[in-house]
Amino acid sequence: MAPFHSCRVGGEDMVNDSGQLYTIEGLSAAILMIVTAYIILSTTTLFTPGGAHVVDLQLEQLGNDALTMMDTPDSAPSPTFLPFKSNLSKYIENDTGFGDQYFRSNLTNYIRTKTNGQPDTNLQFTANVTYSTGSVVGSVPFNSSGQMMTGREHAVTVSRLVLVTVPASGNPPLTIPPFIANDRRYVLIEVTLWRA
Amino acid sequence: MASLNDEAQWLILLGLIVCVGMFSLAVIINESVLVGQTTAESVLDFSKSDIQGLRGEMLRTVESDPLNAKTVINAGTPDIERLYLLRKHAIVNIKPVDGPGLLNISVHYNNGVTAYNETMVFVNQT
Repeated sequence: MAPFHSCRVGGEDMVNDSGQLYTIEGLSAAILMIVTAYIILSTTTLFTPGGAHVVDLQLEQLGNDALTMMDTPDSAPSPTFLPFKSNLSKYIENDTGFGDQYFRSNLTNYIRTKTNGQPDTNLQFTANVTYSTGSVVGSVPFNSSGQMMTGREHAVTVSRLVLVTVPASGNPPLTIPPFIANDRRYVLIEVTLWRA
Repeated sequence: MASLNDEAQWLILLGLIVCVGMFSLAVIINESVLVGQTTAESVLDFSKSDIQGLRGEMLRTVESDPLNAKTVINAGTPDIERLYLLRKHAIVNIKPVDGPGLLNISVHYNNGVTAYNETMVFVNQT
């Protein structure tokens, strides 16, 4: 039997090192083709809804922040100063009859303020007070920025639970059924925001 | 074709490395487009303000009128539960329970994705 290495002569046999560059070239071409195919396939994802989500997020954050600012009481609770009320609850209770107008001017101010001093007049809103009467849930309009919705807006809704005391004077929106003066109840203020 | 030689192996190998590097960077740039969308989606899906509103309102109810808080909460919870179910699509259960404090309110929130459970303990009702 011939020694094993005796067959490795010249360039005639199957395994030798004369084709290294061809091998590297073939390997790199294969990798490049696979990666290219992967990138082409993965870039066909639709990005259009992505932009809308970011805008939704910003509007929702803005609305929640504005409602939080209005729903923060000016003073800490104390035995001599009860009840512990925020401006938002006062607006909804509407003792004076101008609560919805105060709400409108404050919310407009909060959401439209920009750092350059010019208000962002494109932002529009409409607000409802939603209540539960024990058997049904209903809504009454509160106030809005004045512009009608056409139904095509890309709007977001933010809402906040508010504890109110039904005033004896009975101004809207708290004339909602069942109307019991001095009753303490939870209502939901819902603000729909959109960019016109 | 002229016969191959092995004089430029380092050059070709470096070319290959640069190639792979550029493709990796392209993949990273490609992924970055998705970041804004997924972040916005997950923030929108997470009902942070709903849960904060719920426990914030409980806290305020107790702070504003500690002596009648239990009555107000007992009378108001059916309204809250119905409002949250119909307007925010979440199941909510709030009730005063026995516990270590003077007033203990158990708060449960579940919208199918996010669940939140807490027992709020009020030890000092001044």
